[in-house]
Amino acid sequence: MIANDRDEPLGHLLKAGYDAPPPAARFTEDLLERMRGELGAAKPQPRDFSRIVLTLSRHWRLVAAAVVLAAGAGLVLLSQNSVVLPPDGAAPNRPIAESTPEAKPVRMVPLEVKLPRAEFVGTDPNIKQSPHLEKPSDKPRPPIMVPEGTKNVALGKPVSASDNEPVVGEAELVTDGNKATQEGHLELGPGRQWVQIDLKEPCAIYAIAIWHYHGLPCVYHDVVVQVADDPDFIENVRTVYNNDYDNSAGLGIGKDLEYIEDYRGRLIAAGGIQARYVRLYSSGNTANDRNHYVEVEVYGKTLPAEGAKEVPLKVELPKATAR
Amino acid sequence: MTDAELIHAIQAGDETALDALYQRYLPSVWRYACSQLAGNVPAAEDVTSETFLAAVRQIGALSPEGGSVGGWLLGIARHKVADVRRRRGRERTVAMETPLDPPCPSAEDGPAALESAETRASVRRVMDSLADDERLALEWKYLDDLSVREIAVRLRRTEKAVEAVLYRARNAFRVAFDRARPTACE
Repeated sequence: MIANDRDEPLGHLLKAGYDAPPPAARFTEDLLERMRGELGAAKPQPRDFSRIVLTLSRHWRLVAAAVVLAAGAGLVLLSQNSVVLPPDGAAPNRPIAESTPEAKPVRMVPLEVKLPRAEFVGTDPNIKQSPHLEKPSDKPRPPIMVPEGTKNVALGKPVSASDNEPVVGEAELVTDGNKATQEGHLELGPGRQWVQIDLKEPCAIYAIAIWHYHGLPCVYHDVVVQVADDPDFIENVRTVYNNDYDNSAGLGIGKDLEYIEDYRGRLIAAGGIQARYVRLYSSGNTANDRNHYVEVEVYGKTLPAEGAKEVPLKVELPKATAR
Repeated sequence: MTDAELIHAIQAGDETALDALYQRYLPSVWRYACSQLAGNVPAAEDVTSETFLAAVRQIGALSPEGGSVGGWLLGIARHKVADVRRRRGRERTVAMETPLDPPCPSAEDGPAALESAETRASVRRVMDSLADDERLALEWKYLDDLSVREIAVRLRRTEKAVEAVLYRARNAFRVAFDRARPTACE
């Protein structure tokens, strides 16, 4: 047992400083009752015939197209256009709509990211190499392949932040298209903070580029990038980048490496993940305990509205990795 | 029952397991909400309700083997606290209808009162700075009087690993507390 004679004062400190009187009994009972109600409503239903019919009716255009094709060609091509029931509780990626019902191969092109001017030369001797820090390299990073027509869907989109009173700047600077640190950046207070971009509609996201402050060499801690379907990050939250190696941000241990900021920012491949909201966390940096965001770009394509003609995307997207 | 067993039972629709999970984590979520919202009871009730209701809605998609259930709940609570702050402005502007703690004393209240308020503020700040598992381990050990074995079941770790977490948490707490103390209640 690892304990010592200072346990007792620590217990007293916590009781005095962190404990709270329990919530009212009526509140706890009411809440439990509401939770039971939610659980009853959320119980998984068996996949019965009526559900299949309902799903088919939602995809009536596909079903009709399949029937016409089969009748015309004398062939049954159900394997091409079959409707797959989504798994319970999961929000699967929707295929991207095209103007015709035939599946067209998507042309993949290297993503071109416009970089700002380099603002420093050299390294900071105070940044110590560690197994969690990526080795600095001047080599050009490998390109990320994205479908043709992919663009920065975050440009000019609304940004919110965990800190309602930023130390410097305004939230909208994060998506204003300007990556130079001296021409406006957002500074949030100490500790774990986040900025969040509302893409205004669901998008297929192929890459995310982040520029923290890059006027000096520094390493931002606990850089975590998540996407979700709702602004509260409750529905269908997925992590696309996480370099919090010790879970100090409480979002889980990440396997990505910390990196030294420079004009190239950090480019993260997202593999076509579908979401409306993007949230970026950090917990201070090696120079100070504050959090800075100069620009964030989200490269993707807007998804079609429900009911648009849908065709399967005929391309194997790369696994999400970071460079 | 471990957290993972409880989650699987809840996913199968077991209300008893839901009650057990709720009783297990209500104190932690409640304390967190109270500490973040400066003792505003109605706001803490909102955060606690919204946290547990959101958790139940999402529990079908949760893979309990993937991480700590306590950390997951605190993660939801963090977002709900941020929502409350967005709705009502920052912590210092939240109306203190039913404060759990007396307000920060002035010098006229005497050195003991000052010391006590300063200590409370420091402890809250330090707890906020700890990783979720460390914070929960300290709470369970010192506020809920759980044994190391019970904490090990909740955190899905061995008793030795929990002792190590507690050791790290105590050290981190002391270091941060010594640093945080002089600026409390400024």
